[in-house]
Amino acid sequence: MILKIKAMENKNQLDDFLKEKMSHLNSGIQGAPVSFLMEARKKVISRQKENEKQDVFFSVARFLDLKIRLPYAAVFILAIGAASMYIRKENTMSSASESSPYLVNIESARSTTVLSSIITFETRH
Amino acid sequence: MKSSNNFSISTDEELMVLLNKGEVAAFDELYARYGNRLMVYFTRMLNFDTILAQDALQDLFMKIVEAPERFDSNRSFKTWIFSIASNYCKNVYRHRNVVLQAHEEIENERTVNENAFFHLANKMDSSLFKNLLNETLNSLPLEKKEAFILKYQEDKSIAEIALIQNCPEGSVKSRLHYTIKMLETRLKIFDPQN
Repeated sequence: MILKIKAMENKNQLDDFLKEKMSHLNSGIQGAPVSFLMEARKKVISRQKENEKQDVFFSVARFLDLKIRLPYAAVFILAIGAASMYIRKENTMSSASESSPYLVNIESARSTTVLSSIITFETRH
Repeated sequence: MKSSNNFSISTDEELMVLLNKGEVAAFDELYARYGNRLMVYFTRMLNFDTILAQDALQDLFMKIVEAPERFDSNRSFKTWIFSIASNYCKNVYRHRNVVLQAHEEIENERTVNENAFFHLANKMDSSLFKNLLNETLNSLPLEKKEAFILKYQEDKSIAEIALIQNCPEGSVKSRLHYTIKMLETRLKIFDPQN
């Protein structure tokens, strides 16, 4: 047991001795270079600018996310759909009234419930 | 390089988060903490080639500022940065063949007489011992040299060294043991009783 403790003490002594000899503080080795630090700092600053751009994007996205809710979006889509259908109907009606009597005849013939032989009327004219 | 006061109490990991956001002072603080010790690490690892060591250090810090997001904040920064440094040295060794391929064969079975080693080394002139230490380190294969530097220069535990070297703890122990035995063998030349 005593021998074991003695061996441990020796090991610790040796460890401390080697740590002291290997310490970077009194190694006598040249210090770290500083020549590239400006370039490195510029790269760090450029990251800051990138982050700012991303921040603007994310703040806009966050704003939209908060303001646009599903019910509002559904009502908006329905309103747009109804408006577009109304405009299309208006257009077809006005174009029909503006077309020639020939076309009006064909249109009325198509929309009536007469027999299909009435098609001869269309082809003959 | 003096450390900036604002971040001197922040942990390395916190500094990396700030660096990722573009905080220059965080970078300065990290460089103040690790610049010199990594310079010594690279110099010793690269056989005292100061120019090569400076290049290595510059490369390492530029990589950090270019892609700090690579750092996983759940890991220890210290282990991470030394892992990168270790890989850098491996690449240099692979490409430039820095290491001396032939190294002294020593008896693996023999144990180190720590008591005799310590007393002899302690009696020796300090600069003479340092020269012997540097010569011994230069003659070692990469992984043995690195284990020794991480243990005695960086005061890292066996577990940390195993993480950095990506090997079992047993391998680290045997690498350290090998180096001490080699030192002991070389020290014997200076033993008057020998």
